Amino acid sequence: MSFTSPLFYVVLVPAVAVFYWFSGRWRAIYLLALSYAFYALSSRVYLVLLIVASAAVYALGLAIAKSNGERAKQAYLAVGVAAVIAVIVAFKAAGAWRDFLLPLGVSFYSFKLISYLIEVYWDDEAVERDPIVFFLFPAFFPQIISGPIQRPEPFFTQMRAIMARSLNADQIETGFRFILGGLMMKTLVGDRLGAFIETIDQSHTNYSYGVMLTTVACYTLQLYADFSGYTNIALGIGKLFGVEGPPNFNAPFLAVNIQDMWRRWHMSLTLWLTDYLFTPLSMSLRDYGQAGLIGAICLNMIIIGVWHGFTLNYLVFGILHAVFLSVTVLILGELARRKRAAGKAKAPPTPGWRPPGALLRVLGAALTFALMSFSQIFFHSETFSQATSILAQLAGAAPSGSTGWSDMPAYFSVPAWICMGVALYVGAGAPGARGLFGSLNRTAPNWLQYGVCLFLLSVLSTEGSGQFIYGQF
Amino acid sequence: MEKSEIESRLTPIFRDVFNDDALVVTEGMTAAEVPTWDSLSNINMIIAVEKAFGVKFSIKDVRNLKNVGELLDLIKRKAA
Amino acid sequence: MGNSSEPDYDGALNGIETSRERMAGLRLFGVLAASLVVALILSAAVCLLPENDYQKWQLQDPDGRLRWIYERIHFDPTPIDVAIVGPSRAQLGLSAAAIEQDLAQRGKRVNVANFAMLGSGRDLQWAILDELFKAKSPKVVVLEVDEEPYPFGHFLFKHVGLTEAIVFPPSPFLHNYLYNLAYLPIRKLKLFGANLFPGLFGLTKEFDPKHYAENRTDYSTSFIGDGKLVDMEHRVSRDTLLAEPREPVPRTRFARLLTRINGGEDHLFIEKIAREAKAHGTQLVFVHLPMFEGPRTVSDEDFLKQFGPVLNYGDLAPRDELFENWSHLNHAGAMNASARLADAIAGLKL
Repeated sequence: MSFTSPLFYVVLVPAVAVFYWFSGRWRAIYLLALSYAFYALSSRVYLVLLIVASAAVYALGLAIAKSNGERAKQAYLAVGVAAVIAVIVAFKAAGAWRDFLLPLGVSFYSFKLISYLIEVYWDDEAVERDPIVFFLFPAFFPQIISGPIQRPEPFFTQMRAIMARSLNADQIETGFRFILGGLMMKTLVGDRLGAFIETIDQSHTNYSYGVMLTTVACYTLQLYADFSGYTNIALGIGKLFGVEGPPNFNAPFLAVNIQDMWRRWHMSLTLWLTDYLFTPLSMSLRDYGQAGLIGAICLNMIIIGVWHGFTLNYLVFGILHAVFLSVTVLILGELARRKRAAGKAKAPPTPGWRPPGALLRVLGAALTFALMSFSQIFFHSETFSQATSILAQLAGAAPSGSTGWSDMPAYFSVPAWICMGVALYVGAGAPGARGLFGSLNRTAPNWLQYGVCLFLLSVLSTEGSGQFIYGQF
Repeated sequence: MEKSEIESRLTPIFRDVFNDDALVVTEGMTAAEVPTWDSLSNINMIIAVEKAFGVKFSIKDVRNLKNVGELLDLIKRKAA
Repeated sequence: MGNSSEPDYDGALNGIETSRERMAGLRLFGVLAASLVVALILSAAVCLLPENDYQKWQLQDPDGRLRWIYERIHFDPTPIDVAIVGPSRAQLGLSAAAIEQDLAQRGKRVNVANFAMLGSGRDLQWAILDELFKAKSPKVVVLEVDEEPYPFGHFLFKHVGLTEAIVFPPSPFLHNYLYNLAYLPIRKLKLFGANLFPGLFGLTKEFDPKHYAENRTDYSTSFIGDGKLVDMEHRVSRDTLLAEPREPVPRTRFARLLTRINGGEDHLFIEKIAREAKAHGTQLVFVHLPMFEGPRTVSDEDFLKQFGPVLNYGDLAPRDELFENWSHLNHAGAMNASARLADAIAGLKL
């Protein structure tokens, strides 16, 4: 069941009501049953995989916490992590080779399981003995489809809290707001931009250079709208059950360099890789100085790429970011070094005009956005040949077509421009929105605002999304 | 070595690694308070601290540090 | 009667806690309910907006068949004496031009319009005929019938169905009721915008005779459909026809239940069509065009007979030389069926 189908919400409301009707441990049991039922709708076979993987990691976690020797702990950790990674690799390889349907959320719940094992290894206290609470961790249905990837400790703590406390009406209302906002972003902006991009992509050689350039920028904007919208829906549904999840985005279009961008984009994934891959790796490679650091960065980014899928496009995406990030780190490091050297020598400031900080930030953000969009050519394209074909057109190696903006019907291009504007505005942190919402909250009661949003959701969504598919009947 | 001495020796290292000459090192300081303190500069800081104090940290040591105070304790333990 | 003489403060506090929690929960529920009510009121209000009919018939596709049908009815002064409605079987399998020619040779000047189009669903055919009766006075309406009545409504009905027809259908248990209803506010808003800014929405308010003339009206010869060539002349072998996958009509348990409750949507709308035809003095004729090697009988023939003659061309079923694919006649098949239909029309007392 999709988070954008009306039927899902018709079922969700009573499901949440029943959750709060239960009390204590029964809430967790009910939530686990609900999560497994949700998963079973997708695939009963893969539900078995989820349960088996959860059980294995649960047992290994207990084993690590119980054993005294470092060697034993390491052995259990290695077995567990290797097994989970083997499962991911096997499915991703099958997926790339045979167009195979992957188990729902396998990339996400497997990362949750690995992080649990590593946390227990680092600190015995992190073990979770309660099986219900533990099994809920990888299965928690709001986060299972596309994350965000929550850490074990905040999840366990919140689970225990929700078993003990009463419902928090403010949190639930916030959850509803997150869902509403996320749905609007995903279906009104993301899906519409997606439809626009798909039309252009199908015959991109017919379109002018200007159109193609804008479309490539759209890849980034559309992905942001779609994924940030989706994440907010997931976070919102989690809040309905009393669970606060980690954010995935933090105004990514304000990023002034690629390093900054990755601190603001798909944060739950990048933080996961930082904590469990990059930091340990760079620690072990620290004797190799600059080379070790660059090596750790490259491996990190390549894994971000292929985590999405074992295809050439995702690999190239990873490699591109490895290069971007390495170069950025080296340049920034060099600039800092020079600045400190100049500062130590107490030299007078270099003569000549220095660009104002604000201008540098804007240029940096534009360059970062350009680099991100460039890499999106590979991330977004279905096949490698499609990516290279678009690249060739942008590089001028292949001819562009004649269809420009003025040749496109207004009902096609105008909604696209509006959506681009909205995605860019929100992705840049929605400057000025707080003041606007403040005055809005003073004039219109919350139910009126929500009602208008629900209305807009139902009338502005594109033909495909949000409508009952009558085949279901 | 006393913690105050470690703290004073740490200050120039921090200022260098985090590129902030006005940085004041306190026991309660965390990475969240320093804009330039991210996973990359963190590694550089670890390397610089190890070199300066002649110690070697393990990932477990470093992982659990919640603030600079705990780092000072760690250095004191390792340098002893 | 309690055991302890101490008043139960904890119990009282717990009671307050749970009742506060219940209040908070109810308040929250109230906010949710109020939001839904606001959304519903806004949606209903939007449904009161007026529509430009010509633009409405362009909604499905500004270059589509529905637009042509509307133009043929309202902007083309040529009368329509015989109208044909049905799914794509009738669109390809009956040639209006051939029927006209045949009847002309018999000395009868008859204008035939083939309004059959892709997709099954009697509601859309009723909408087309309803529109037809507004501007023209057909003497005969030909409805194509399949071996089994189609249980669902047409997926395009939501675009052109009258507002009242969508909000108050002949039965509230139509399969597409919610589907069509959910689309209504979207259509109203789109048409409202299109009325003010036709260019922006790509729905014109001005009739363009050149665009109208460019429309294909006869699908019994080869044409390009969905980017693919539909070859109506080429002879397809029996084996190829038999090997083609036949698309089954989806029948979930819920769908079957709805059909049992509403009595069959196909019949509901045939009754509506029959009522309107009677009011306008128009004859109804039913034509069965079979699938290749499909059933030759019409399962609801007894029901249909009460409204008009049922012309069963089921005998065409085994003739592989007359089929373009498993469910559509080719050019030869269309000529055959058209000749027979012309014959039948000639025999009617008009």
